[in-house]
Amino acid sequence: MSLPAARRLARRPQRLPSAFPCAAAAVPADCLPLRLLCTTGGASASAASARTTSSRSPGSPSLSSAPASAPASPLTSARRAFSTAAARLTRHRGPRGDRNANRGVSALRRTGLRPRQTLSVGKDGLPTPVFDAGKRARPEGDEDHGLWGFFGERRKCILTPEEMNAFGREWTVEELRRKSWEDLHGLWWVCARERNRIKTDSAERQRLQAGYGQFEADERYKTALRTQKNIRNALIERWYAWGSARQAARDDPEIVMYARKGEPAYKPSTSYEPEEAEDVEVKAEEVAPSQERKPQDQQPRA
Amino acid sequence: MKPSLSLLTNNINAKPIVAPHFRFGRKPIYLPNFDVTLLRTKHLPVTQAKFQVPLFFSKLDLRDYLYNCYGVRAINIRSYVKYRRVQLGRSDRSSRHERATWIRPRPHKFMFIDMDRPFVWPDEPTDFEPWDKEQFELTNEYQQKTAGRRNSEQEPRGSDEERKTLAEQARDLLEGRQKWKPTDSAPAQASRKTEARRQRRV
Repeated sequence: MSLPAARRLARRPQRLPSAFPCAAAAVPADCLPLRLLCTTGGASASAASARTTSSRSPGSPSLSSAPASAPASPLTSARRAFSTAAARLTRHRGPRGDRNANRGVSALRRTGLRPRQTLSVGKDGLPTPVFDAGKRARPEGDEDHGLWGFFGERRKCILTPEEMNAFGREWTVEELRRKSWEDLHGLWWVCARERNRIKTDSAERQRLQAGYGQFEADERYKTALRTQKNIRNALIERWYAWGSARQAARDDPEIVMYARKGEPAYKPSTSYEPEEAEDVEVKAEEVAPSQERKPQDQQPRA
Repeated sequence: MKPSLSLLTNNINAKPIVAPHFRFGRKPIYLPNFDVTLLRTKHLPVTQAKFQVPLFFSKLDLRDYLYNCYGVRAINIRSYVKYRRVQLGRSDRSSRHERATWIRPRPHKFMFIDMDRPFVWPDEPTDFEPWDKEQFELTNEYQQKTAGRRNSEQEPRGSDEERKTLAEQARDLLEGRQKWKPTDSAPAQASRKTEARRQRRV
């Protein structure tokens, strides 16, 4: 039943004297309180009884002076529930009832279980809560869990300032120029994980209010940042050197930029006739421009 | 469908990579420049973890990042943004205007993940001697006390000590124990009294 309908029913006794003038005058006090269908009864029913009692005039006829037709009315039969519902709907039990075993059982109204109701669970063997956190069983974590990557090799909660301060310098651009892209890319990710480690350590130290160590963590963090900055610089240098080499090759008439398969990419000019004595040097010069065509072999300019 | 990050990690993870439980995104990020912080949260079960992530991060980003960089399978992710209080400027800014302007700092973003394997944090240290906790707290207390003063000897404005002295002077004047004189002609007795009180305290 919807709530407004329940409220309408709960308000019903207020209009009772006017709706049933003869019956209300005839109902004695011991027939009250009225039990209303599908309402909680309680306060409203007792209030209704009080109102009905007070509205009764002192000179109203008693039960003995009720008219003869009164027993035909459902209200006049003693201790019968009042209901405006159809009669067959009110029969919940018996052969013509709705056969609903859970009729009248409600968790909202806290009615509890019906008699002889059995549940799939019981009260036996329930775990006992442990309120002392120190006595609870400690769960075991995986030793090779990936989240250990957020900690150092020693797997400590927070590093002491001395341990945090034990680090070297950053990689310089001069060192990084000699490295391949695979090396630089791997080093970048080493720095990224190191930054995550330092941030995790700092957050935990601040949460514990452990004390000093922020300065050392910041210095270490800045060193990782400087290494990453130098990696970027080395890659940017390499990119511009490759572009310059392409431009130089495009301007060189002896170099074929888009050579087909089998076609030589380097065509020396026919007018050039080397002397006998400089034969070796010419061969060396031949090699140099052909190297220049490959961007991955190109050494960046200092 | 929004493509997530596919982070290329160059096989720096020594442990064997577990099988992916999702389809990789098609937008490769070679050189990421952000931090992901693992945060200890006491009430979480061992199969959950909390992270602070950049504000632009999505759940798919964190899932790809944790899988590719750490070999962690994030089965389910929850996210929230924590807004921060308005504060008076930033003390590290050199411009006076920036220091005097009310700003709201950028909010923080946090994400919780569900994992298929349990992870237990290492124990907290019991002895904070290496971090010099006592000295650290004393220094902080002193700095908070002396914040905004011109020097350490100066009493803070509106302090209890100053208020008591002022009330005492006012009472002396009102009850006639003290005659008001301009301070130019002769130093007031009250100020000498204040000086004596300060000497006693030192």
